[in-house]
Amino acid sequence: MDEETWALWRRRAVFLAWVVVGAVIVAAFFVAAFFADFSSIDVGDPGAVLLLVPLLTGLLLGILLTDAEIVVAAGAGVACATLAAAFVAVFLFSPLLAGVAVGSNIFAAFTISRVALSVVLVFPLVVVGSVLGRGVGDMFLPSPRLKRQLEELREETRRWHDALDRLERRQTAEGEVGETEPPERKD
Amino acid sequence: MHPLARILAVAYLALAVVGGFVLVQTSLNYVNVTDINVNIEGKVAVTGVEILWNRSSGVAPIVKVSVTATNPGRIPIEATSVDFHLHMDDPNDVYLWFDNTGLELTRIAPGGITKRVGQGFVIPPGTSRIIEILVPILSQEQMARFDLPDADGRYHPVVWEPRFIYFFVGFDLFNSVFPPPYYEGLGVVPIG
Repeated sequence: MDEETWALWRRRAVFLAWVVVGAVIVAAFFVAAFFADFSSIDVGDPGAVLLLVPLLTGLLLGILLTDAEIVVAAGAGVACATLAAAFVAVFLFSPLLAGVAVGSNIFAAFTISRVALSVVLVFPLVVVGSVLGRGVGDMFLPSPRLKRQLEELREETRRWHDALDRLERRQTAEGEVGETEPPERKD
Repeated sequence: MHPLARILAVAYLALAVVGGFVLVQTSLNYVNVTDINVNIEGKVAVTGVEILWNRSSGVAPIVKVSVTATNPGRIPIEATSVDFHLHMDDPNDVYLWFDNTGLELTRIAPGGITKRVGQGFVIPPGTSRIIEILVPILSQEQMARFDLPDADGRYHPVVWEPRFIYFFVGFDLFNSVFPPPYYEGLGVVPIG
């Protein structure tokens, strides 16, 4: 495997790791807030937790993906929210998976409605958070690599400007010469 | 990565570790609570009725109702309330013991026991506990409905609509079970 391919897979693995970690955070706090009776920690006001944790997690996810394109950050938000909803579904189906309960229509209705609610609540917040985080990261916390790339870009732009200036000056000088000597006829 | 972003990454990972623990713990709690709620049905029953009464002593009779509860789960539960309606089947009437019209005529008194959370009957996982409830027969009206023995001098008490309320120890969660009604078909001879 060459270095470029290795770097690509490494970036993908890091992306996946951040998405999974974010999903664990979002799902855990959603479950702890929404099913506080079963939780071993007191997360405080459930409403605030349900709204703020997905947003802040998305923000952190976006900041951590500053090196990637903004579309990647948005995609990470979508993946994170989807995975978080899947974790919530696993939690809700855990008695069934553990074999202590049998499925029924009431159980299915309860579970599906809660999973749907988690999707509705979590999805927009995580995605918006990740895009915002990507913007914040780009603005305030760029990585040294990104800084170097930006500097190189600026340098290149400067060089182009200089070249254009030189060209412009030369054309102006040629124009002045042209006023005294008419252009040759091309028959 | 920017140094501040590195710190945020560490915080993000730390939050995930806490989150993972919470998710697993909460799932286990949910499974354990559901396990008991689903499987306690049939594990709580009225298992006996005794009548403590010496007619010649002149002391009011007391009916002792025994409720046996088994914890089928993996976490302890605490029984905080057991209640029911005590009836005495009249062997001379035309109604069966569970007939609604007959039950209106045989009702003696409500019975039960209620404890505060933390002071109830703790039932460890996999064990059974017998809760005894005493119902004194106080008034003349109650006595008239109580003192209806059959030809052999045996009484046939009915424990109607029993209800068992339990909390999960360590949680702010409770549930109710409605065991089947109890009828002493063979009859009870008063002790005392």
